[in-house]
Amino acid sequence: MSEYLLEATYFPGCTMKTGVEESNLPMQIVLDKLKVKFYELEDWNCCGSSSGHAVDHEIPIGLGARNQSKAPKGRPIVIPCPNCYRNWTTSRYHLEHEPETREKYENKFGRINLTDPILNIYDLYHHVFNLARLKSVTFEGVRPLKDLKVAVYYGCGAMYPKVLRPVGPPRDTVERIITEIGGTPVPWPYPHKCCSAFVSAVYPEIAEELATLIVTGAYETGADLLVTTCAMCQMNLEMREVSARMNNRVPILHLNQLMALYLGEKASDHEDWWKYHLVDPTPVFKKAGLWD
Amino acid sequence: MEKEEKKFSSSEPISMSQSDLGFAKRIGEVAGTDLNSCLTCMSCSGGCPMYPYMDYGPHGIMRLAVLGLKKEALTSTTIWRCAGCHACAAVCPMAINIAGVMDYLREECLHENLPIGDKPLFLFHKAFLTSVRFHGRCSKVELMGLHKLYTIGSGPKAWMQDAILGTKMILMRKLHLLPSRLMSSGISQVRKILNGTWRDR
Repeated sequence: MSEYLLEATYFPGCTMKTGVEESNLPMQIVLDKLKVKFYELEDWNCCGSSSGHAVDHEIPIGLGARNQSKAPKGRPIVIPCPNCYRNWTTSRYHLEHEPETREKYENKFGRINLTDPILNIYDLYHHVFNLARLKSVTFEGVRPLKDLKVAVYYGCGAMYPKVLRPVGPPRDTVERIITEIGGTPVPWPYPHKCCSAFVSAVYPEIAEELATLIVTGAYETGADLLVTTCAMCQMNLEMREVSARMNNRVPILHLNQLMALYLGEKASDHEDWWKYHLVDPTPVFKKAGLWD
Repeated sequence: MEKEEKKFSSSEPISMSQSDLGFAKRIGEVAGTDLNSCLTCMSCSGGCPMYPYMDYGPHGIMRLAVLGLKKEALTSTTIWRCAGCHACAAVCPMAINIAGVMDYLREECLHENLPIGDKPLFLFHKAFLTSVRFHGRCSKVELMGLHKLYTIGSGPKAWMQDAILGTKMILMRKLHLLPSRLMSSGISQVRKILNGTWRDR
């Protein structure tokens, strides 16, 4: 039997590959402690992001077909970026339902892996917690994040057309993880509000307005921090908080960082994570007693 | 960016003489949804983060499509200012894939060579796909550089936009300066996928 609880194919996506060390470093620690092994997808390409489907519907299907043809059989595919995840599921939907499209791309790239599940990073954490319960595995040195009020921000990555997700956007998925690791998810108005994504790069004033709305919403419900799984949302909100010169700033963290703190890492040991943040999150940890 | 006055609030009568009545049906075939089931409940516009900056809003585009007013729909700023966040599609009570319709309309606008409602946003998509064509993956720094190059005609405000914050983020190494690349065989496969899909301007 394998020494790992789970082995998975990992598709980092362009954002997580070039930058976002503050999320990649804690993720490595979390995976080691949760006994999960990631194998990076071999020679993967961009999923098309928000620009591919904006100009031609074939682009995300084709790029997704090439990626899925690279995925080995028998391992779930884990995708940390919600936008990549949506493009992958869209691509898979078309390849599953349109035999002529599948035939066209199978002729180009060989067999396309349509059987292994595509998981989001929070699906993976749920899965691992469930596996751990079933096999009664315990994680050592766990330190619950007591007294930490967390506003969970999904961003638009949680929104899907109804054919792909008939039940609608998730409302308690990350919240359940936060409860499991000891924090308190606060109810707040904008968990699914888009941070304006790529429009931020062209019209910063729109992004500043939306970021002000979102961060003020979190601040007024008394959240200590915002947590998100999307690296792009994290960067965008943090940038716009600074460039809009907001007074009441709320630090924006990655889910991976909170998971690492729960699994026993000390915040004071990891100056190398916090130095990447434009809004300093260290006062929050000092207040919540997670600093050392 | 100014907030836009909505065009449907004008008192002018709608001219139907140029109307293309098969338009909604064709959109429905490509986007996989039936536009005639739209109730005009405006849930989509209510949830849309970009609604204040659009000239029609998503529900207005649905109306234009059903009425067959193709030219108005394809030249609107709405289709380009859509951020593709799918908030409209997720809230629609009739399960219309509104963001998918927007995708189709943008594609159609490029194919028919009609004027683009919001040029800088189109140039962003172009810069993105150029970056993907170079490396097979996207590089954020290169993307911003290309976009600045494409919009060089729009004046000093666009050149200096986010220059200080962007440089700071590169120096912090929050953004890597160098892109990650595919193997050369992979890049040629990605270029083959991109070739012959969208119509460049």
